[in-house]
Amino acid sequence: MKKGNKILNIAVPALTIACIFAIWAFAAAVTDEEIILPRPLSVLKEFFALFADGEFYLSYFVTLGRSAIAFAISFALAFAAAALSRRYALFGRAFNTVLPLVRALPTVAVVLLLVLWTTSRVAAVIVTMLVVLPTLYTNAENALSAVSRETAEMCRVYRVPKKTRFFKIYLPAVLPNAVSAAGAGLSLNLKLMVAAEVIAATARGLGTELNLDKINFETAHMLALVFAIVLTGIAVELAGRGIARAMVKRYA
Amino acid sequence: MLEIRHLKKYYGSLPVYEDFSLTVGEGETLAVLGNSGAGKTTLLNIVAGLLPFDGGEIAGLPERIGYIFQSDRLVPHFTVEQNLCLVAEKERVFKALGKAGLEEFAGYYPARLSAGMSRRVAILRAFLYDAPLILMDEPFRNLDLALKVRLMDFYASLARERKNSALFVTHDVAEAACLADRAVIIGGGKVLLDMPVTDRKEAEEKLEAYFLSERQE
Repeated sequence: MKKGNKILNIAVPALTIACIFAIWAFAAAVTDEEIILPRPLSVLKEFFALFADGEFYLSYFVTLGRSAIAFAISFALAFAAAALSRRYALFGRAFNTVLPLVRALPTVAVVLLLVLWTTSRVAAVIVTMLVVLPTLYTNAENALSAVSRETAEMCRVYRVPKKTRFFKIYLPAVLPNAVSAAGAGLSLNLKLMVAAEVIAATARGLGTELNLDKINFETAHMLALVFAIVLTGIAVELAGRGIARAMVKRYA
Repeated sequence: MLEIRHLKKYYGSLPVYEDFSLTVGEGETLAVLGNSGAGKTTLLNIVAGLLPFDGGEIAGLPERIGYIFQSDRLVPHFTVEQNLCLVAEKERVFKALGKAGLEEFAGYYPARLSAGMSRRVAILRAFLYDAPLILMDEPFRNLDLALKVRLMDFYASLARERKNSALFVTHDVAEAACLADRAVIIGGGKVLLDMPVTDRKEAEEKLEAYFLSERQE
């Protein structure tokens, strides 16, 4: 990459963020009402104060844990469904009929129904799982198509042991796409989980804390929590992309 | 000896073979020629066990079959050495790589190999598998003439050493005349011409004449 491009890659995002903060600071100064729009500095202070708060860690990891569980289930389901669709066309057709229905489900209605049928914690996990599933399924289909029919035929002709085929040929071929999909999926998952926690009114979690902040008009604290969620989402997505890129680079 | 007797194969209701018979003698290289859509690749895939057939029988199929596909089909995240180790032990792989002058490329991934180099690895893989029968599906297609000649020499040197049977699908009469002991032309699900290749030039002329007469008809 050219040196000029490298500088632009850093300078443009940095300037964009600086602009957003400048507009925010200006709007906050005009409003001059911390409850409606706190100043960036107040939010930053609240953000750093979060790290000294035990309650925050508890909520943060509860939400992260729930997201991970929901994600792991949808990830496994998506890959199993994509593999079955590839193997059995009939299953693929059936699943592709259900998928648009799942995609069209109104999230809030589903959460409310699930709260009636299960507990709020379970409701948050299931709804997140359902919303992420169609995206992960598409990603899983792309990942599996990395294992070409040609490679599979070559393995059959040369009687490559099934264990070698799965662990050394198919899995590494699928992994870069899968890891990249996992990064993007986890980030989306986290966002959805927070929304589901707010609607389902779980006993603990970042969504619950946001809801409490809204009730208590603690806007600066609320925005600090949003900061934490955004940064976590970005970190997870970048990590996924980085690992996938490193995997692809290794074989190029 | 490989014997294909009264083979039947349909794609849906479309017949490819309705009563097709063919033999490949021990140590014989049989070239199969024919127009596009004659079922040449289908025939190889049936023999390789990749495609089911609807009737007839195939006798004398060895347990191991080597297959040089139209594309190289090397595992992209395996090095040359790892690709070859899928079919043979490390020691034999290195010996063969050394003989083929590919030793220094053992650690290369397929993406870093030239077209000719990766073709040679694919050919080597088929021979390293120690199969009494090798199937080849237009292995020298889309290559420039110089590379084609080099690869044909490479194939011929390995074939001379191993003495295995080969079923070789091609569009190119010169390739057939160069490498085969016998050539057949297939079409409409039947063997249209079956001739031994004793004299290269004569065989090439005969095969060319057949295709030309077919075109005039």
